[in-house]
Amino acid sequence: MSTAKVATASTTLKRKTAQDAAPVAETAEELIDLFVDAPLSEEEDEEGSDNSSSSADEEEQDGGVEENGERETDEVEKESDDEDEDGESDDSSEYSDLGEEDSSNEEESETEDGTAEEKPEKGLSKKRSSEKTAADISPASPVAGPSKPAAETDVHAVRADPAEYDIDSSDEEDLRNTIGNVPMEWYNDYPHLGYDWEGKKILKPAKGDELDRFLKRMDDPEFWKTVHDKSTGQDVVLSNEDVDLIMRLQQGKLTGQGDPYEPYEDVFSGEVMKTSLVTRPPHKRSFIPSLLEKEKVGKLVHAIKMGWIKPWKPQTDSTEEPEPQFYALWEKEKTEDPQSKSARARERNATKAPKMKLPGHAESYNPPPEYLLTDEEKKKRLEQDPEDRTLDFVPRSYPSMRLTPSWMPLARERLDRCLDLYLCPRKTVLKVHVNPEDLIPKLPKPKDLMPFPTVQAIIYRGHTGIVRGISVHPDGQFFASGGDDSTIRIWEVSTGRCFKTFTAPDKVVSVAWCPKADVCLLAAACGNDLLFFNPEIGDKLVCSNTDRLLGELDLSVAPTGGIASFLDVNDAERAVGLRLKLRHTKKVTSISWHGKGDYFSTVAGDSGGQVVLHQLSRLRSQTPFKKLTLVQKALFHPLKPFFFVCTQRSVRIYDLSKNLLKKVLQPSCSTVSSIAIHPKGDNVLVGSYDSRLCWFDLDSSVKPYQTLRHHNNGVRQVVFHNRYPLFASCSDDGSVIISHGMVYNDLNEFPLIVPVKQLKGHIKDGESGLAVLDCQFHPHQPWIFSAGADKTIRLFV
Amino acid sequence: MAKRKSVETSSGMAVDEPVPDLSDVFIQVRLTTKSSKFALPDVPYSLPGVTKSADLNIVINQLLGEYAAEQWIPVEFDFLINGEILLQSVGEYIYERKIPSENVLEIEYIEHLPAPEPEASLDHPDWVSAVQMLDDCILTGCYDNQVRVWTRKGALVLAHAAHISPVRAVAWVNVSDTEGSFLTSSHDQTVALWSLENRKTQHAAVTPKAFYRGHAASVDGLAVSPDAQKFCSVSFDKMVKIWSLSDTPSVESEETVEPAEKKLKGDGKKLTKTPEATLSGHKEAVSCCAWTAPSEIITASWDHSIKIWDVELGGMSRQLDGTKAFLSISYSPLSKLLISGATDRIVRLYDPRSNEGSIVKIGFASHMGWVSSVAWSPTNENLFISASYDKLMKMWDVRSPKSPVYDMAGHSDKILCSAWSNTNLLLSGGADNDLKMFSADV
Repeated sequence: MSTAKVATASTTLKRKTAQDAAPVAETAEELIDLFVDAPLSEEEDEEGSDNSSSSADEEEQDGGVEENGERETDEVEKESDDEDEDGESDDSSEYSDLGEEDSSNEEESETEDGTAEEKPEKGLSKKRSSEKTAADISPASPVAGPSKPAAETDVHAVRADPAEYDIDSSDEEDLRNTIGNVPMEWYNDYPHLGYDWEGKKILKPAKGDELDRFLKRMDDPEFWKTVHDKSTGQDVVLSNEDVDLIMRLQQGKLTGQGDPYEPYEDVFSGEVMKTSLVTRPPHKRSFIPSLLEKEKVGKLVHAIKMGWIKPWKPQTDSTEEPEPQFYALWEKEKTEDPQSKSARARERNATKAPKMKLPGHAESYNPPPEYLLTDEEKKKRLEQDPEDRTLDFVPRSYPSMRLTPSWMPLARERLDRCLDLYLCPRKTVLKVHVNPEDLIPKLPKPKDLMPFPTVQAIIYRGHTGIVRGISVHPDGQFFASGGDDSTIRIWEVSTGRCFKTFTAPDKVVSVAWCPKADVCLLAAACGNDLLFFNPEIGDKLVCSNTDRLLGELDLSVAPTGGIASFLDVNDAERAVGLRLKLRHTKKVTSISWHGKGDYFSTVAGDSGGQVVLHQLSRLRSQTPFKKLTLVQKALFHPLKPFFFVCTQRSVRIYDLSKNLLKKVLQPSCSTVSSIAIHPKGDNVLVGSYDSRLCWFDLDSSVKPYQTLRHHNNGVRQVVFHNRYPLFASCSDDGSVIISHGMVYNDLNEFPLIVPVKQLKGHIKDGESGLAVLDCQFHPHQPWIFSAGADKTIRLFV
Repeated sequence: MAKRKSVETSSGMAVDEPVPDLSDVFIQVRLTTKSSKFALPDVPYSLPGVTKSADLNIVINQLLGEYAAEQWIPVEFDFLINGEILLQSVGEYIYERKIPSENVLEIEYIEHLPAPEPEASLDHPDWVSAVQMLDDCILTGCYDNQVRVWTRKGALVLAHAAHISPVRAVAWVNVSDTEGSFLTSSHDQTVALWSLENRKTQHAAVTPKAFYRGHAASVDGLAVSPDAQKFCSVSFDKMVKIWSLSDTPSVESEETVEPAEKKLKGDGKKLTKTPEATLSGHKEAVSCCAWTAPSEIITASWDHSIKIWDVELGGMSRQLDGTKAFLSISYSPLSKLLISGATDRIVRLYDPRSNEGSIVKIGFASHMGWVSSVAWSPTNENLFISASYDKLMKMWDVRSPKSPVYDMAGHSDKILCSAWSNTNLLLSGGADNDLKMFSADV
């Protein structure tokens, strides 16, 4: 009842001024008492009046007419009359009924409390309006539980500040402004806000600007709870209780006062008593159909008939195009959902199959003899049409179940099932899911594998023909080259200066420095000869030592007549640097030195030939592998006494200390062109003319560990770097490919092979189809020299 | 032959990302200078963001013209902001370095360096491998085993077959009005001290004073100590050797090793000297050396390191590691900084004294080939030259690392050596048998 009142009270609480305090003080007190007592008295009243629900309804309907405050004083006397008199109905006035009851209660209390008698009228009118607001909010819930506590809240609030409340009833709108319920904006242009009781203008209070407001906000600690009252233009500071109350209301909590758990009192009981508490018989009206309703219904029916009212929503507008509806044709699951309506209907409406007839005695494997057919019957049965026969089978008798003809297949089938169960594998086979990307090895970025040669630095020009072979001096200051122009040239690495030139009698195919540290000796393959030069570069002591060592050799004891023989040189040749000749019977195609610089091997023959092993200190030559022909290259193992002979199809590894064939590598390519051994000795790289590069791990297999196909044409040379984990291959396609080839000391780890750079620079010689014929790494720096068919040698760093 | 680097190209190189519209940006600048000749009143000016060096030049010349008493001849200026030469517009500079445009930007203007004037080209019969100039004497080493002395004007004083192999390095010890002495080193593993007499007359002659033997490979670098009492030589045999230049030979070794040498050098055995100290530590060929103090040398090597040696103690005091083989270094006594040329085309600036931050202070990247030679200006602490196998010699200002100040073209093959003399003559010799001279007005 009074929840709404609390809300209004909280906003109007502080508006009361001392000015109108005195006259209504007592009324306020009464009002408080009234509110406190009201539910109780109501209850009593209800108990008294509600004998039956119908009678209660009746009463509610009755009281509604009264709206005039003056008449209410007489209400008590007239009540009984009204009940009879009031024929006309007014459905909407529930609250007036309540108000009526309250007024009667009030009168009772007034009579009890004699002090209130002087101001009955004003008190009543105020109270009435308060009741109205209360009823407005909760008209249909007379049973409101918290109504009483709410009333109490009000009481508390009022009692907390009686001086303020003396002047005013709790729910009254601010009385100082009499303009009524009009928007305050209407007064925006006027200096006043409205009119007071006397009709005098209420002037707008002086209003500060934004700055004042801001300062106030900063200075005034109570600013946050200051509220602007539009109707008076005043700022009202809310008390702490008000703020607390507002916050509680905003949070939807109880007001925090009173007991929220009071026992529920069913004021308007719905219970129907067996005997009416009042003697009044039910009203005649409760039996007769309401004329008013009939009239109303009639009007509605007429309106519907005439089409004024549409009782249901019209169907879809014809002007609007119906939205296209799409059906999921293939959405099987939805239709076959057992929960779907149609599926359930189908299930429900399914025609059940007729029940099988139970087997009779005739079906038994051993029927009683009377069921068995006699011969006559059998004959008769045969004569009958199939549809006329009583049984569609001939009953037969067997002494036991096992002898029935169906027994055997059945037993067989059962056995098979059992065997199936018994023999089937119990393990589920796991299917392997392989992500193809996981199979690609994770290669490091070339940038992380620096240093390796990337750019061309120096071009060594001077040769007038194709450069066939190069060899870098172990010191790294010079390198030698030989080519088709029948010259052997010594170059200074850092400047590109051609330091010395030696003229050879024939085209130079290959050059190689003696790896021995204390000699300066260059071997060059030139026609059938192997020429030994002392270019006299580098340390002078070494050069003189070389000459001394060569001078000590006694050529007279050197064997002659074999496949190769050592020859002395004449003075003219000695003057140009030539020191020794080794003449073969066939053309020499390649040379390779043993690491200690005493032994060396040559391959003699026009296109692949025989391997000849030589010893420089004793001037001896031998051909240990006479059966091997078509040899491409021969190489010494850097650390162990192994010898690699590279034929066109395979690489044969001989153990020189034991004189036996150790291994044959199968490079699976057509023609092997070149071979290089890793400085650690466990890996071999083989290049072939079908543009393939095969990496062998000698410890693991005779098949290639990895085959690289990065060149577009035949590979001419492969080479490992002595210090850096690099290898390179040069090809007829004009490029040198540098690869990172890391061999780990851990035997379980596979070598890491990453191609890092393709170096281009050489121009392909159109005539011969050759491009890069040789490449060699610098012994100390990550640099590579390449010899090209374009008559140049290039250095890439 | 010498061309001014255009401002546009260098600014285009510097800015990669799009620069916001600078036309409506105005920047407060204060123009300062250290030379009193060009001083202007200390007033801040507001300049549009698109202002470039050329516009600033006009502004300053106009202002100077207003304040000047007589007729003003326009002078070209360069502009420094925070010690860096302005190459792009002021707005772009500010944008790149994220300097708030509200600040007053201090721009210092210095007189613009005039372009080096190409002078005579000295023809040689073979590759010029080494060059050095002291006062008015030019000394060149050549691949025809000879050393030549030239005058400032380019006239050949004399040529002398100093070695039996190509000369690798030359160095002046001293030069007086009539005579001088110099050192040469060669592929024949020796260093020789020569005295030059009557150098301004027709009877100029060279006599050997001493032969320094001990290296086992070509001697690639020579450096005379600041007090001219010692010199150091570096060789391909990984050794650094210190020799004494004083006239009283410390060790007179009787010639034992080289009978072939004896014939060539006549009375060479008397003159042979042995090293005072040998500093070993480099793992590869040592390519270049320089003195930084009377008892400290710096050497650069192919083993990717620069080592600082204390000559008195005979040991290494510090090592600066690089990533590529070093070909040349130069030390400036003015700025106490070190520059190096390497096989990766980048000239790098080091501060040998600092231990903080990265070793390389600035990288100057513009060359397209190996940087064979670098040299500091003896008079200007900000300028140096670098010569490269890409046939160009470049003059750099430390304050503008992004582009060289001048490119000096002219060679038709690799440049092998370069020098900046104390008379501000720039020299470069190369594989085209030429020695080019440029006079720099620094």
